[in-house]
Amino acid sequence: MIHFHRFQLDNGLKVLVHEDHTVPMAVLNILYDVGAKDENPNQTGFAHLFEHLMFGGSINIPSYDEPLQRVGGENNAFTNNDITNYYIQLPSVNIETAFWLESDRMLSLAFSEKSLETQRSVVIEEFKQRYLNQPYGDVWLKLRPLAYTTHSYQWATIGKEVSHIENAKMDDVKAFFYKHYTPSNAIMVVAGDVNLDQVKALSEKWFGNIPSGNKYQRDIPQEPIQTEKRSLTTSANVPNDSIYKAFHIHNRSSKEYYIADIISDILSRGESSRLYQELVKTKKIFSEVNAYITGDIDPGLFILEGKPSKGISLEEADEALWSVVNEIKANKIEQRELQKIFNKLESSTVFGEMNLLNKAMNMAYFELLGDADMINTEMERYRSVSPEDISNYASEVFTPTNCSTLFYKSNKS
Amino acid sequence: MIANIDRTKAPEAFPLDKVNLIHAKSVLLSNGMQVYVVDGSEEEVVRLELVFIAGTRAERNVLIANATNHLLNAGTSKMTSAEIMEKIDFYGAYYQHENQLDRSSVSLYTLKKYFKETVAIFSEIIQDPIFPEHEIETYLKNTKQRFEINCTKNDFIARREFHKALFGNHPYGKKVETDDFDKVNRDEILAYYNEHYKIENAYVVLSGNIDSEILNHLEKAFYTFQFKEKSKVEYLEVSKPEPVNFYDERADSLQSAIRIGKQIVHKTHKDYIELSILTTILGGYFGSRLMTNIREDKGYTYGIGAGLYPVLDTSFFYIATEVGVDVTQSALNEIYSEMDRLMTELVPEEELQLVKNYLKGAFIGSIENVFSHADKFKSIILYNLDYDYYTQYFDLIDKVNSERLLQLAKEYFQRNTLTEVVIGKK
Repeated sequence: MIHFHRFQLDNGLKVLVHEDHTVPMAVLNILYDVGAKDENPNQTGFAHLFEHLMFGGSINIPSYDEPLQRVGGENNAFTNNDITNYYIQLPSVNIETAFWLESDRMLSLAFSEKSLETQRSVVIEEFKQRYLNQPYGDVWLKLRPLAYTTHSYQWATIGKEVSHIENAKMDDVKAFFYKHYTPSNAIMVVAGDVNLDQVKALSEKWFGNIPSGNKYQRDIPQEPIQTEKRSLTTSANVPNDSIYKAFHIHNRSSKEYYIADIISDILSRGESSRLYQELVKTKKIFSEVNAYITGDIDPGLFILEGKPSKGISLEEADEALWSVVNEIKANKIEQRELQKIFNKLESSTVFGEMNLLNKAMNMAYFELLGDADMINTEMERYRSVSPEDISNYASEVFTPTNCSTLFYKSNKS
Repeated sequence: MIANIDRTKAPEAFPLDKVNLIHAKSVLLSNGMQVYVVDGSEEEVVRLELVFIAGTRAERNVLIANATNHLLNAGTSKMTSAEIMEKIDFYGAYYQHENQLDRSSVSLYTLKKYFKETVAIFSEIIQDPIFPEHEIETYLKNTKQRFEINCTKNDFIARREFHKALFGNHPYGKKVETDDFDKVNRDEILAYYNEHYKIENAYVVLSGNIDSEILNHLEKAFYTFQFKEKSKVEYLEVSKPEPVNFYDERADSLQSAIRIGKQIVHKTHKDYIELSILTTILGGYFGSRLMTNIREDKGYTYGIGAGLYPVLDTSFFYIATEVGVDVTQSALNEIYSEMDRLMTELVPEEELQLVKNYLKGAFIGSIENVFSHADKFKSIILYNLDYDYYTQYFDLIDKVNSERLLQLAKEYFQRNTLTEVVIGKK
């Protein structure tokens, strides 16, 4: 159970406070409601590049990192298709430094040309390191546009191609900032060894006079229902073939989301899961195999992926994956297996809540979904899923016409 | 009304105090099993860890230590691997295992209410594994496939060559080749298990929300154990091979993987803590010299870091990065010039103060929950250090000055003592 308080400043900034005095540390987490899905199709990778620029100095403070390290703090950030999330962890005695730094960059960046130039190079190196110079690193660059014809989930957070990052201009940076980095588009969580009154006072002091800006109205074209089987075959200099299957599922706020998540656990959570036991251990068709959901806010994807064992073709591997999901469609799951999933979810919640940063990030995320208190009722939503729900939803999702398959072939085979 | 504030001025900064660690208490169970207990959690959780001083260092042939560690849960005389993992998963518990250079560990994470059930399975995994032939075969087939994929990563190859160059014939330097996977046999795994996975040779660390009932369950789970004297760890002589420059060109690379470093003093050596401070200045945090120059100024890389890695017989210093192929040589030049600067110029007072605070903050921040307290204990006990190490750590952070760091840099960072590995293109 996570207890918290919530208040809102006049400029629209939402603030959540969670007191936890077990260690003398504090976290200040700010989630901006902007992700790669909000990008222009001709300027992809921009939300993430922008995240890098947020560390290039703000209007009144030339260096972001230096003053924070000087008081014993650390920070980082991540961008995904839905959100951009920034966090600071620091000894709680110096919490005000976090307010000072975060409020100034919400007020305005320094927009330094040098920073833009450097971070373009850094992000291009990141593009190479994680997507281009890695075996199978480009899978998501190929799978997304296959699965999505319309929705902006069709490109990865890093961007469609390196040239989009090379071409980023300062004017675009400024426009993006004023459009998305406003108090009303942000959720701040302050957690740890702090108290409510202190956070209220510091929030007013540092964030209170930031102009509210205009609330960004999102209007993303939604993905039409897929009606035909899709597949793409690609090849690369990798030692092994690999297969990726993407199925459309419901959005984050639906009941079906929880059913899909449970199905992915049945298939792939822990060594006792079905895919591992049946396809790796018993039939030895795969050397590794995995199932998961992408966890997106808008309708996301259910992914099956694996590397077939030597001598097994991608077609045989594909068939084996179908046989396991067809089993879920055809036969109701036993009570013990479902109980196992619930127990695992329960313990991962307890262990997860032993980490302050993790709590703070989750609170911000659930607040974005509608209410941070959903963290405390999340388990109930999982528990409400029945064996019938599982086979019914599996039958709806796991159909050839709802599926996009990427056959990733090794040039050597 | 909101008063006007001067945003150019940083808020007042307060000094950082040392945090008090929860000390591990040594508890002797009635069967003579020694357990280190770190108790201090509100949450109803338990972690039980057995750390065997073994690891890769203790194997005669490559892959044996890894295979043994991985296959412990592949079946016991009473249960198949599938049954074992179904039970562990059913109770929502986590079974983890890790093989490192000089230790092999197995751990159980569980909700307190299921400790009794899960510790019974856990003890069976450790005390009664049978290593079935078909499980070994599947494991080798799959890890070989993964290994082949890893061999296409420049970073993986760089690390392998780096260890080889640094440690030569010492087990730390052993290099795995693809056909080694075909040579592993069950007898060697059994022999390794029998020699090294003895309870009396493990550090048993129990952390979380611990009471006498938990200790009782633990004792019952290990009821067959009879007191045996702990055997002494034997330290191996580590030769110091001549530094080398290793370059392997891989024509289609977009980035080169770079490793630079050397063997350096043992964790118990008087210079170790101060050297770790020096290494932090060089490449141990986001604002380090290497990050500032090579990432934030030049944009050559997504990340670069330097650190010390302690092992049982010695420790080593490393710099690691991946940089664009077109700037590989420039990046190497910048790395050496940053090291030169540390050997010739005093670290400015302002920067030193920042690093001191950063290190203190990072230490305080590394204590998140009861498991972190247990981790702090593990990282001293394995080196025969006691909690004074942390007091000394904070003292030395306060005391160390620029003159001392200059002296250390001159002593340890000389260019002709460093090994350099580059995989990619120059």
